[in-house]
Amino acid sequence: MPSESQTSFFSRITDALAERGEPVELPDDLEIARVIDATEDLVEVFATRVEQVGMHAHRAAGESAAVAKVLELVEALAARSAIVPDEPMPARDAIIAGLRSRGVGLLSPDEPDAAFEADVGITGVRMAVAETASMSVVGGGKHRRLASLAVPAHVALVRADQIVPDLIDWGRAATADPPANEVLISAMSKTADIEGILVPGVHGPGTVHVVIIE
Amino acid sequence: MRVSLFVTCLSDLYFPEVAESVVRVLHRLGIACDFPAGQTCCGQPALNSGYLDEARTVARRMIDVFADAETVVTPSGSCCATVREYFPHLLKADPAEHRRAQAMAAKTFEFTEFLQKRLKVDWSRWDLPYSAVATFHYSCHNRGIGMSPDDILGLVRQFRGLKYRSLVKTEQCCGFGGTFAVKFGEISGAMVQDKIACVKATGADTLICNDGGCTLNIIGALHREGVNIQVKHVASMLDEAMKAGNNRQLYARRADGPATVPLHSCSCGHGVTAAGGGGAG
Amino acid sequence: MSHPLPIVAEDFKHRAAAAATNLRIAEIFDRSARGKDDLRRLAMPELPHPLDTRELAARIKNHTLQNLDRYLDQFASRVRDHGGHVHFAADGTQANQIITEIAQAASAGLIVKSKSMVSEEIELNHALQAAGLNVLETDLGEYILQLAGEKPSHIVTPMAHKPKEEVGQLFAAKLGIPYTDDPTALTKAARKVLRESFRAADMGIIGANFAVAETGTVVIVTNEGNGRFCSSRPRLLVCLMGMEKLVPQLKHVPIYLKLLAKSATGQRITCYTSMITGPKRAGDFDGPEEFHVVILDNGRSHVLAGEYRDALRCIRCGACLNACPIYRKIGGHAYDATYPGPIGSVISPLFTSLATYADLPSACSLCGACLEACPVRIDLPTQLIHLRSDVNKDGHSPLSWRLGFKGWKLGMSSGLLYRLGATFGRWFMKIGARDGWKHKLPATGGIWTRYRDVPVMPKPFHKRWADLQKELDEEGKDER
Repeated sequence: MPSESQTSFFSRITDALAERGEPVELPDDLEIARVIDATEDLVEVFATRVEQVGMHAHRAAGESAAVAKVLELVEALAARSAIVPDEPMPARDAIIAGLRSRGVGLLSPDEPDAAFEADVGITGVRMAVAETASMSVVGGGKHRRLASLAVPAHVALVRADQIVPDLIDWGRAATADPPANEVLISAMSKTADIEGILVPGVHGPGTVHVVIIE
Repeated sequence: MRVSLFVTCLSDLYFPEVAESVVRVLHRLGIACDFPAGQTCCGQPALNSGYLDEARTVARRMIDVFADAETVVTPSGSCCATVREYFPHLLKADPAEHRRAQAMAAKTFEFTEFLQKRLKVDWSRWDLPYSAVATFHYSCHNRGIGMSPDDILGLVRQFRGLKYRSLVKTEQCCGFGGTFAVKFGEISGAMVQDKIACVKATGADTLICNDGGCTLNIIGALHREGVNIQVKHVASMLDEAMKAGNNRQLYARRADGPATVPLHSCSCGHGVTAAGGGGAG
Repeated sequence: MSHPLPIVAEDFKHRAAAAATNLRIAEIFDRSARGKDDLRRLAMPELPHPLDTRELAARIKNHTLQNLDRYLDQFASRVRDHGGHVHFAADGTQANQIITEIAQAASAGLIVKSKSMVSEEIELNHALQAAGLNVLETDLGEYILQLAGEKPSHIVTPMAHKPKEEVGQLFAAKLGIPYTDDPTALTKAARKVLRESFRAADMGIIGANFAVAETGTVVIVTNEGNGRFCSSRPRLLVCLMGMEKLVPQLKHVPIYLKLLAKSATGQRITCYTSMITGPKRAGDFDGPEEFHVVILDNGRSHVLAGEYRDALRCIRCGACLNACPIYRKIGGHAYDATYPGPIGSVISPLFTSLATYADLPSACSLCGACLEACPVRIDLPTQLIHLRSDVNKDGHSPLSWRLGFKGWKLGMSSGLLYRLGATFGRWFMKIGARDGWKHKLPATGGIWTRYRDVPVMPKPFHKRWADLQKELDEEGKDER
């Protein structure tokens, strides 16, 4: 490789910083950027903001109501096939049983192209953020990066206790050793590149349903 | 309180009536105004064109001229911003000079800012002697002195007898920019044409503007296109309103004490005239 | 296909003049740029302390830049700890070679690429294609520009200049679909092509919005999700980043995510934010097997050294372009630079040479709208003033101007000379004036009078002062 050696690259930087100027402390007052705090009704804030960006929020009282809602959504989407990765997710077994009984084809998550073929992807989340209507979805292990991306519709299950108030809380929860891949999903895939006109579903899902289990 | 007028070269040469109005208005508010002789320019043209040594020389001189001034008031936002934002920056190499520049910056105010933020004048006491449909041009350099469009509009809209029409692209520069206007004539021309198109679209008969550079640019373009809209400085309007008779009411009210016109330095006797005014000088 | 907005002049002044007198450019960019500027103004107040938050973002970057050697070293070590490869490139040529060789060594067939301004800066696609590699832009706007053979006109919305009818004609010609100018139908047509490309690609190239020193994480944001595809599906992933992209820890990322989306498009946050920490781990089902980070200098260390260091805080949100009245009038192409608008007028000459872009720093009315918009509070107007000074000192400005300001200084250094000059000027302005106005000035003044008349000068204030005092004395007596 024609790469410059790290030593010579760094020597330019060190030279450039010969006069560093007055030392600037690393600020710690991140809280001034906080928008939502823990005193607010986080489920309400999250659900409202999910809707504001064009995703759909569904509040379900308990897991069985959530399963019913997921199955109802799959039916409404007229989905004939689904990908449900073998990842930690509320009521996964019940959802799979329900999909089977309704004749929805379950594509094997171990098939590399399954997410490209499925009509819907159903996943859990690691964490959700009320402020930005974000859902943190991690890669690795049995997670499937494309199950929330290559599908035309994504159904995400979020437990109410997974919702943190603010993006700052998400940042503080991050460990010094993160997974190889984490994504914050904060809306459906969309573009406004052609004359600023919003078109959903440009590459990834055009529809995102968020089922919140209270 | 004693005020020293920094007229600015542009107002001196092109808009002397505005500067006269500034002095009259301050006088009627009970503030004596002096006019330090020998003042020229704040150095803005050189500064903006990147001739920093030349700007520095002129800035030093300006600080000397106003060395004895207690408070400096100017009818131009951009010249005020030059003093406040750039004098300390230009003269930061020498600590003593830097301190003098900072002191100059701290005592210099743009006229509407001075009225709004220092004197906290309640303008709603004055009627315009005529009815006007007006819109307002936000001079960019008001940004540099911390005056938002709302700050100045808050003032202007207090006038009774004035119908205000909002202007689209309020935050967009009129295209003056000093030497920019002749270095990039076409861009500057397109910008001022855009500005006057927006002004025309309001249907206003009066454009309020509190900067000489913007005014010279905009009146020139309006005249070239044969558009009959008068451009007025806030000081001129206030002068007219005060002159129109309500000044008696003002003087009567001022006897009530500092609640209506809180002149903080009234009691310290720094050249503040007695009620009714004894004249400057 | 001909360029829709022909700006072909060789030097900036002529390109800018041509663009400024092209009403179509003004209309397009006024709509797109001002539209986004309005969205930013609406979005920002969601933060309870917008200005403090921007200052905070600036301070974090100041600290990081001041200790860039330490943080960059930490970042590189962490990427390697995770099994990634780190390459250092002094300039664009080196970076292009590195990426070309990575692709060739892995026999990469199709390369899918996410939008990256650094890759535009070093003309990466050109280099890859010259080496016989097949690289496809996957951001819809960049994809369309690649098909059309055009350059971006904005750093966030690259095809702001291109009307939908032209996209329709382009797709009909290149993709063989029936003509339509419906953005939804056009987007669907592109989706079909790009999905197959994501599926088939061997290699992905992404930029980095942020890079986290403590964890060796690169952060990319996309609304479309193409960044996720490029970094998830292909077996090989290359991230090209400018060396200034670092932040110390993951907990600092939210501050920038909040500001970036609001400043760029008025969104609360971009649709997808990917945090990529090395290649896939043992036992992971998906993700790249091989992960390379290419860290680029290309003039940045030079900027780090001098009085323009603050410019390296830039997070490429495009807010200064949207706020800039000059950008709105001439569009992005007239600059003929990777980075147009206010930030571009600062970093283009700094990243390349002052001589190449000597006119850019002056193409600005110093209105301050860019500083007001900037989420990391870069004092662009002051930096532009200093660049103008550099241009003058390097002798890139005309002698007449340099001499002119020496004369000006002399005149303004004496009250007497100033007043003499005023008298002469007043007399001069009366010559040829009609009804109190002059319609044409000589020399440079003629540029001014191309678009405006000039009023003759009245009796100056300094000659009215004595009378004014008398008047006020009288008024005072009346009142008593």
